[in-house]
Amino acid sequence: MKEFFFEHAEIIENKSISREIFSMKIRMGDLKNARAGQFVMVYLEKGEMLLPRPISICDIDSNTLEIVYQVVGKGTKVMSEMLPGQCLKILGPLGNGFKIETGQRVALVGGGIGVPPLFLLAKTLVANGMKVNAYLGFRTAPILAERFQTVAENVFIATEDGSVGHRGFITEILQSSNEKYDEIFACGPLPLLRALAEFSQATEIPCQVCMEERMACGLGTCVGCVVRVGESYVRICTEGPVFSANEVNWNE
Amino acid sequence: MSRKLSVNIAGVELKNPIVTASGTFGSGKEYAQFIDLNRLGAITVKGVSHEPWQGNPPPRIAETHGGMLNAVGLQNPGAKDFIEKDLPFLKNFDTKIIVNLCGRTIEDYIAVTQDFSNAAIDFFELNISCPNIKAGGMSFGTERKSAEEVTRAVKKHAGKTPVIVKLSPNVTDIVSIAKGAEAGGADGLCLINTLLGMKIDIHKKKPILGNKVGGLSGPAIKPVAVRMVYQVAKAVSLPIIGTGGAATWEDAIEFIMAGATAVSVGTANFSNPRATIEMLDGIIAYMENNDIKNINEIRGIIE
Ligand SMILES: Cc1cc2nc3c(=O)[nH]c(=O)nc-3n(C[C@H](O)[C@H](O)[C@H](O)COP(=O)(O)OP(=O)(O)OC[C@H]3O[C@@H](n4cnc5c(N)ncnc54)[C@H](O)[C@@H]3O)c2cc1C
Ligand SMILES: Cc1cc2nc3c(=O)[nH]c(=O)nc-3n(C[C@H](O)[C@H](O)[C@H](O)COP(=O)(O)O)c2cc1C
Ligand code: FES
Repeated sequence: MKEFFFEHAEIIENKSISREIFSMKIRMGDLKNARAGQFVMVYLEKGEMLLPRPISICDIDSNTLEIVYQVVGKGTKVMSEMLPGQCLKILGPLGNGFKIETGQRVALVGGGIGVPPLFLLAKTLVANGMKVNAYLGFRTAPILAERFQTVAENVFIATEDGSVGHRGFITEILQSSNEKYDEIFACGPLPLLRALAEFSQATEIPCQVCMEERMACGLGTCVGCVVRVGESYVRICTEGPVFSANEVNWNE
Repeated sequence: MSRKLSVNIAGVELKNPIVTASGTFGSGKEYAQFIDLNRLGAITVKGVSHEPWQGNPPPRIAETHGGMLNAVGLQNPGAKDFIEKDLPFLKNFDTKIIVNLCGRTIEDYIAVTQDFSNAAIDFFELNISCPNIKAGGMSFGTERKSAEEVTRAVKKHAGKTPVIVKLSPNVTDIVSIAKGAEAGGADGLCLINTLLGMKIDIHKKKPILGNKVGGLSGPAIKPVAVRMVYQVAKAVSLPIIGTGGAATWEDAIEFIMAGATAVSVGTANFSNPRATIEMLDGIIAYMENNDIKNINEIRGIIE
C-alpha cells in the first residue's frame, strides 16, 4: 500500500513570482517517494470550501515541497494570502507520475500553469543522464524560465503576445526543430496536449501527457475526476494524472 | 465507565452508529491508511450494478457554497468484479458491510441482488434515489408505488440479508415514499440521497457538470436531511440511517436526536479523510460529559 503524507505542514515561503502566480514552499515529512508528475491535495479547512485543491509538485528539496499555483478562484486566493509560519494540511504524493524509462533525448513541453510540474521532471531526467530540451509556452510573462535554464540543455520560450521569445505557440518551435527526440513529456491546457498528441502520432515519438480534472477525494474513491481512455472513463487521480497521449480519447 | 455505543439495525448489531455513505468511501481500501476501519460501525460501499456502468461525461464534480454537486452516474465495474476484487479486502475488518445496489429496471435490481447470493455481506442498501441516471433510477424513488414494488422484488431475492431502502429527497412527500418502502418489506431506511442541483459557469456560459445537473451533498443539505429523518422517524417504525451533510460529532448527535439509529458520512470524507473517526471520538466524549450510558437513550428524543 502507498505511503502518504497527511499532516499539517508549515509554510516556509509563499511569494508571488509573476502576476497572479505564487510559489509556496512547505516543510513536509518524508518526500522520498514523491515523483515528478505527482500532485498533492491542499486542504483549505475553510468551512464553505469543502474540497481540497489538487496542485502539482513543482520541486522537492529534501523535506521541502514547492508548489507553484495560479490564483484563479477562491481557494487559490486563500492560499496566496497565507504567510510563512502558518500551517496547511497537505495530502500526497498522489497519482502515478511520469514514467521515466526510455530515451536519451527528450522534449518537455509546458503551457502556462502546466509548466511547474515539468521542473522536477527536468531535474530527474537530467540526473538520469538524459538530454533535456524544454519548450515553454505562455500567454505573456514566462515563469520558471531561468530555473529551467539551470538544468535543461536548451530552453525555448514562446509567448502569444510576443513579449518574450517566439511570438505564437510553443508547438510551432517544436514542429520546426530538427532534433530527433526519443520521447515528449507535456503538461498544459487541453488544446496544447491535443496538438501534441497529433504530433506524437504523426512523428511516432511517444508522448506522456499530464491531465487535470475537477476532483473531490484525490484518492480514487469518488470516481469524479475521469478522462476517456479508449472506451472507458478512468480516474485521473489514481490511474493518472500522467497518460500516454495515444491512449487518451481526445474527441471528448 | 463503559458506555454503550452499539446500535441494532434489523437484528444486526453495529458496534457504533458511525457508517460511511455509499459512493464516497470507495471500497474502504483507500481510507484504510488514514483510519482504523475496525472502528467503524459499518462501511457502505460504492453503488454496484449487475453489469458494469460507464458513468457520465466529465466534469463530474462542482464545489458549491458548503456543498458539492456530483454527476458520477454510478460508474462501477459491476457486481462480479466487486465481489472478486473488493469484498475480500473488506472481510479482513471487524465491521459490517452494506452493499449499495443500483439498477435501471426491476430486473436489474433483482439480477444484482442475486449476484450477491453467495457473498457474505451484512446488508443490502437499495439505491432507488440516484438522480443521475436518466433511464430509471429516479423514478423508483419518486413514487410510492414504484418504491414499494422494487423493494418487494429485491426483498424476495435477498434471502436472509436485510434490505435497507435509500430514499431520495427529490420528492414532495418523503413520508409517503418511506411508507411505500415499509409496505414493500424494507428492514430499514437510509435518508437522504443527494438533492438535484445545478451550477453554471457564467464566463463560459454553460453548466459546470458534463451532465448539466447533479446531486448536491455536504453540510449545505444537512437541515433538509435532519428534517426528513425527523418526519420519517415519526411516521414509520423502521430503523433509519441518517445521512446528508454530517461532518462533525455534533451533526451525528443531531441526526440521532431526530430519530436516526445510525449516521452515515459521505462528503465529509473528502474534506477530511479522518472525519468518521473524529466524529466517533466526539460522540464518546459527548456521552461522557453528559452522562449518557447508552446512545439509544437519545435517539428520537425530539418531540
Ligand atoms: C492533478 C492536478 C494538478 C494541478 N496542478 C496545478 C498546479 O501545479 N498549479 C496550479 O495553479 N493549478 C493546478 N491545478 C489546477 C488547480 O487545482 C485549480 O486551479 C484549483 O483547484 C482552483 O481552485 P480555486 O478554489 O482557486 O478555484 P475555484 O474555481 O473557486 O474552485 C472551485 C472548485 O473547482 C475546482 N477547480 C477549479 N478549476 C480547476 C482546475 N483547473 N482543475 C481542477 N479543479 C479545478 C477546485 O478545485 C474547486 O473544487 C491542478 C489540477 C489538477 C487536477
Ligand atoms: C461522489 C458521490 C457519489 C455517490 N454515490 C452514491 C451511490 O453510488 N449510491 C448511493 O446510494 N448514494 C451515493 N451518493 C450519495 C451519498 O451516499 C449520500 O447519501 C449523500 O451524498 C448525502 O450525504 P453527505 O452529504 O454526507 O455526502 C454519492 C454521493 C457522492 C458525493
Ligand atoms: S478525485 Fe475522487 S476519484 Fe479522483
